[in-house]
Amino acid sequence: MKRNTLLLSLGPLLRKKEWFVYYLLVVMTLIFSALLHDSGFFSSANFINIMRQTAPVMVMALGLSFALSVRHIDVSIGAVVALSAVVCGLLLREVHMIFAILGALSVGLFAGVINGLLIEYLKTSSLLVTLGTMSIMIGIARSISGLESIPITNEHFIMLFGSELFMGIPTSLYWVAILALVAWLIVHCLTLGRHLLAVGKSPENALQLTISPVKVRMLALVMCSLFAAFAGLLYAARMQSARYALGEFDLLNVFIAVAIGSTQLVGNQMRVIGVICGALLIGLLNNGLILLGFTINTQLIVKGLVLVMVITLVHKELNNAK
Amino acid sequence: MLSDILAQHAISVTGLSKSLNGGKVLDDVSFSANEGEVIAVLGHNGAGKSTLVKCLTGMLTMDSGYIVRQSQTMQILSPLDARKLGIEAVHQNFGLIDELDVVSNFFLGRELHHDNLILKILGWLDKRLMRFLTGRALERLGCEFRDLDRLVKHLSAGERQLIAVARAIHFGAQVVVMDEPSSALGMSQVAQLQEVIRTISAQGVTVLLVSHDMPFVSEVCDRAIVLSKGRLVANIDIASISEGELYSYMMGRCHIKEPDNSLNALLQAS
Amino acid sequence: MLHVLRGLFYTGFCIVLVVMLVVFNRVNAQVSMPVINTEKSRLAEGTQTAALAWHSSSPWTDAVTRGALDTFERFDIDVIAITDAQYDPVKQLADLESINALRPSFVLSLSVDSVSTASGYRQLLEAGTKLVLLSNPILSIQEHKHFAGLISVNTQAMGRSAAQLIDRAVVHTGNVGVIFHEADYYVTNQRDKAFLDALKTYQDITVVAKKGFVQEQDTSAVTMAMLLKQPNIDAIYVSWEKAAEGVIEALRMMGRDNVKVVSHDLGVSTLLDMAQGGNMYAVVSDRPYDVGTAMAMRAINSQRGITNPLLKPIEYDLVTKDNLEAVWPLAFRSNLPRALQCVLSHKEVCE
Repeated sequence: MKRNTLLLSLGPLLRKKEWFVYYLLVVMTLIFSALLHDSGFFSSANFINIMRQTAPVMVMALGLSFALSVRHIDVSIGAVVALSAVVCGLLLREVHMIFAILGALSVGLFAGVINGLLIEYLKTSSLLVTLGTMSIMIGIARSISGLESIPITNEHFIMLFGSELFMGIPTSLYWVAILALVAWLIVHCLTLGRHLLAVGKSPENALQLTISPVKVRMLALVMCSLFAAFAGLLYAARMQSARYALGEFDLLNVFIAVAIGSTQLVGNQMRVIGVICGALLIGLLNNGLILLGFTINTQLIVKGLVLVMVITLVHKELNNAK
Repeated sequence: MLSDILAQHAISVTGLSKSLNGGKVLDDVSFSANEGEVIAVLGHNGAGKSTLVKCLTGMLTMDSGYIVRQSQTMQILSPLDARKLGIEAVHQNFGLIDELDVVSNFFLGRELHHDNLILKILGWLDKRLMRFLTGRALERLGCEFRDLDRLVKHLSAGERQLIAVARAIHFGAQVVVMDEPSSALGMSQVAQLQEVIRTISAQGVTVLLVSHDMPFVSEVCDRAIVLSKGRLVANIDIASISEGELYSYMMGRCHIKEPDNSLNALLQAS
Repeated sequence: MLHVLRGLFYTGFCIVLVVMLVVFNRVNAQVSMPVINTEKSRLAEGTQTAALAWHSSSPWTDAVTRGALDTFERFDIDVIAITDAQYDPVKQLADLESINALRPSFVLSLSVDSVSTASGYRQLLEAGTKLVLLSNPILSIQEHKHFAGLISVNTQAMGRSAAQLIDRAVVHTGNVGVIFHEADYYVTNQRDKAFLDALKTYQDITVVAKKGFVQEQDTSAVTMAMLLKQPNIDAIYVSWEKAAEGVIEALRMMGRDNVKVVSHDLGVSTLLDMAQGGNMYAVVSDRPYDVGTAMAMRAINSQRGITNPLLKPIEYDLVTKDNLEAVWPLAFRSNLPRALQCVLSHKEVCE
């Protein structure tokens, strides 16, 4: 009798699929803490490491969820990161830091606008278009950087966006918090949030209500690229250099982060905290596995397993369009 | 003169034609409506009723034809144009977003913002005001919504239809077009709806009703226009015909004499 | 209710898979000694630890690792982590930071990018870790007091030897195609440059085509493009053996049996081709096991205050089909892989 009621009361909580990522995060932290109880896993220094390493991925994941919420898949985010970092690195050598930052962010702006124009006015698949723009941007990044790493020595810049501690926390994390707050506000308090959801769920109904799906989707793509450009700034400051290959390996991580943090990948309401936790989960996994002494192969396999598990248990991808 | 005659009518539709997928769905449809008139749009399935609604609300663009209102001739090219003309609609699919709550759906596309200039530019929602107004609008239709924050997908079809109707009525300043508004409603709700329609028509709002619900139509409508295969075939006064005849019109079985308050007749008369 | 059970089932299934993975990983590690966990109970006071942060995984890095592990074991030093950055500077920085959390006494590493990874190494040095770098120098940290040293393979000599091998391959006269590493990577850049400079001294050998690649997988396509444009090539030089695999694949597909390939380092696929008398003609090989030993010794010596010890320079060999069997054990301190043994013993059927 007692056991039944316990399970029954747990039921509704467990059934809340959006909370799966939080459970997983807690479980994983506990498992790793137990296995690694004396290797420094559970130290604040290590946690700060993890946060530092995942900061750019969190920002990219937030941006990507804007695009995904209106049913656009943007795979060019990795290239935007690289190009924005390279542009920033080159500009920091010539002009004041402010202009370098603006230059880097405008890369994101341009990329988003071009993606948006191509996708909306050609009315084609976002996946294909962004594959194309990704290739173009990587080519540009490679040419203008001459395939070399561009060293960044501007101390103010590194302090502003990098891993330097300000009141015990790396500055990059403050930025992540700010951007997460912005995303959260958009979703909950601004008109844009509702319009994003409306356009993502039912463009025809949105059209009836004088919302322009084209404009909203373009805005979503611009935000996606802008966030990716910001992640480029974070990378540049952390690595103290800019390289065309930045962000190359993050595409998988970012998509997994968003997938874990939501109940449906495409066309779903943005879940800011879920996405942040998803990214954190991946960072935790990478870190914990290294400390446990596993090779990279294991990391890849475990990441894949987690993704599959999440998809089976939580996701409800709609097969037929509404 | 002609302009005076046209000015009497709250809204006139002239020569409306629309082709879809190569076939003509609406063919030179013309009618006019006075302020406060409740007009039923009848016809068999596929006669073009829903297309007419979509053209009037800007979802589809007319191939030819125009709208005359207050001596101004215009075309409706987008939902925004329709909204500016004061035309609101209840569509067959209700036009709601399932993942949003009642209040958000009510104000979708015309959200209210706080007074502050900066907040207005950002688009900061005034949720309290919107909730208050939504509650009030729904009360007018006599429905009690316990929790306006519930997502629309958790509501029954009748509740959803009521929201759509309440929304159109609340925002419909001049013309309210309803496509099967009673399809999911229970009897008491239907009665409530009739009451509200009467109220707003008394306030001067023109109501266009597409419906198969005969008692509903005969109860609340003044006139009926009948479409058949895209053409307007009758424009009749409901009070002057019997229920049987009304039924036949609904089924699309009857064609009678040309409408006598069409533009041509008016021109001939003057 | 069913939801809950289903969830538990799937989670359990995945846990079982992960456990299997752990066992599998331990048993099948390419390195002869599996990676070890730290357990405080085993670490007596003053036991020292070491970590290896590599740029990628290959038989070459495994041999270096083995050299280092054997040396550390002689001194009772535990190796607690071995990471593989897959040529990604971001990953290497993350690896270094994670290693730093383990507070090792020694770190041996090959840097993927001198600029981006510098901060990671600096953190380790500030924490008092003795650092030994391999091949790719990082000038900004080499002045630090805890920096133990840079072990370099003799890129100049290896480059020159490769030129020598090309000379042998084309019998003093011929056309050469060069497939070089087109990225900012000290060791390959130096080797490739040394090769090109040395080749100039052979007057009857001409470089007729030069194409760059960034990722190892690209070389197949690059080779095909090169040969289509310049069919008159007698030999090809490739920056290292893994990249050479793609070159050989392309040559086989185009049916060009007569083109000889020269490269650096020993790898099983390329050596199999060499043993069977295929396109692979020769490689220059250093002694990765000795490299590992040298790195570990440099780290240990530096802690004891012995600087600039008289270490033997790392030797290198010119390897062809004839001396392959002898050189492998010298370079790797392990037995020749079975596949190679089989082919070299001219058996009819090889398992």
